[in-house]
Amino acid sequence: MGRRGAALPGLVVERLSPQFLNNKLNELSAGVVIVVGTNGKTTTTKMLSHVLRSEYRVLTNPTGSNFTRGIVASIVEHASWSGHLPYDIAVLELDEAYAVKFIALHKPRGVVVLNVMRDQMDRFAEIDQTAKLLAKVAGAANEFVVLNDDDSRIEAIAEKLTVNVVKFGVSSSLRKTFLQDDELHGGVAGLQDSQAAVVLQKYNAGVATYAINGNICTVELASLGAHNAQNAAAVLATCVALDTALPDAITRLSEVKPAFGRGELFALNKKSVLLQLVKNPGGFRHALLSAESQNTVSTMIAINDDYPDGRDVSWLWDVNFDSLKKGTVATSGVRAADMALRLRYDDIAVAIINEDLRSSLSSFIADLNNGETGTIFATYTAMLELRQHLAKITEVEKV
Amino acid sequence: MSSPITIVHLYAKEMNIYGDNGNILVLQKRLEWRGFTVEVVRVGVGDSFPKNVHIVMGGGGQDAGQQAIADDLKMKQTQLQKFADNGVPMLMICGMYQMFGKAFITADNTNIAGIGILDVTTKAESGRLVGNVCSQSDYGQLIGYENHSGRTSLGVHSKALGTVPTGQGNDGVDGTEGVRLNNVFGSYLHGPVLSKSPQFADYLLRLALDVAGDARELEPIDDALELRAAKVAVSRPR
Repeated sequence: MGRRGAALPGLVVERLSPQFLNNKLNELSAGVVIVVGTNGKTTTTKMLSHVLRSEYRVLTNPTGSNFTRGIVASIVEHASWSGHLPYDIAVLELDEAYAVKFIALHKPRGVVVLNVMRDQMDRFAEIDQTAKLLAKVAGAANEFVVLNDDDSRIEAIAEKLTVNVVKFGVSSSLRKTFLQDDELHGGVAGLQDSQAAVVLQKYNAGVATYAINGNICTVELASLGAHNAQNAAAVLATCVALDTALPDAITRLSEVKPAFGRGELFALNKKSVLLQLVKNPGGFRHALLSAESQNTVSTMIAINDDYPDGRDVSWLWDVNFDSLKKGTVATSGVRAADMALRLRYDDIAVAIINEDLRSSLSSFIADLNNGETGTIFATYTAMLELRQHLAKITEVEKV
Repeated sequence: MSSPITIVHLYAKEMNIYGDNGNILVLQKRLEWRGFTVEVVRVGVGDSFPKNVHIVMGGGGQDAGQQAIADDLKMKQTQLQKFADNGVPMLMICGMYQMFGKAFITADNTNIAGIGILDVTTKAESGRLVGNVCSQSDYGQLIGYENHSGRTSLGVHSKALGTVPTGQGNDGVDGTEGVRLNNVFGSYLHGPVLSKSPQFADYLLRLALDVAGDARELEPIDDALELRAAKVAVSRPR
């Protein structure tokens, strides 16, 4: 059996033995934890994997290859020649659609449910439908479920669960930063302090303060943005569920660098570029808040509309871009004109509209001042291509 | 200064799933850029209409959103019909388009009455019509993105808003998209449709100004960007 490659070995093994996945995962002494939700899966999976490595040998899918087949391939790749899996625990991020297929093959020990927001409606049609899928996935957990206390669609999943439920939430003062989907157009309904096991109490420029079952602790996160502090809250709640030593977890959380294309920073001689995936209004909103708090001046937005990006670009109109008025903006990608059009109606003039990603990136970098960090917001396929171009001019972490 | 043009946004919270609020922003800005004063009034569940209503807009929602507003919409039916009879322009997208019709027939053949301002009937079907759409209308090319499972058929008094290739539009079969009855328009096009269909946006604004008794001209706007984005959209796969 080939030990490298993405989907093909997985496909072969899956056909040969449909039980392969379940059998192999059952070998893991500490079981399987899956991470689901619209936004934050990759970052949360990376954080959780790193934190758990203090106690376990962790199998994970760091490239976000979240098809069951990709996971089978990953197991084939990581199994020793005898076929034994040299790991104790698996932390896997799964797209809601694939998570439903996964739980049919294997019942995980724990499920972490982050949030549910409008996302790629051309594929998933309705948020309520997606929430139902997530509830089904959570219902498959053998031992525990971690839930977002501030997302009512997610919080409601707890009602039907009989396993241990550990919630994470934010304080009332932060609640306006973490809008759930219905609040994008309607404002926040009620402002109460979360009674969750893990509560994000304060966040400022990477420094997050949590109350973990009443104990206060502060973490300096390398992944900037309040949304990542919320992802870290989910990680801490998972540690509570797994009974992981918390002081260790907190130290290790601060070491986690941003995941692949999720606020990833690239050093380019005297300048740098921050590459931030955007795929739906909720995520874009958080990305803009984060950029604003870092006083970003130069921005590029790259919008493609291939299948993984979502073919429908209507969602750009669910995002408010007022924070970009202070700086300069260039747009790129297949839908560069659409993005510029969106900005026009927020009275933001776009300096350069250029569909070609490579030349857009070059001129964006050339126009940065020395010492400046420019921010690039990009949809999925645009992010992948930009990362490839960046790899030719600077060091890029292999994933 | 003359009195403001009032845009009413119906159910902004519940029926606003695919960026349809962008249509309101497009109308607002295209008036403000020309020196008009604009007031956007969100009319939600339990709210009453403002004194002056010059144009009414509505968007698409989830099933839950449609259920949440159904009773309230019935209570607003008489008032909305009065606006329609007085020539107030309205643009209802997707879910609100269906609810402005005579009826929605569910998969198990239950007949849910709409408010009947538009002479259309929608039937639930299993397959969704999803993709980029370019519709030919009397108000220029209408560019948007459809995503619906309901199949809408037009009554005898209704005129289609535009024509589309078979497989798209109202029912995926008859090549029509949307509807017009008096100044009330229904359409499945998100996008939001007015962002890349500036001629249609200005047509609606002219109707709104007429209702307001405002005789000022709508000065031309440079729509090069709108047309460039529209051209790209037309070139993309469905």
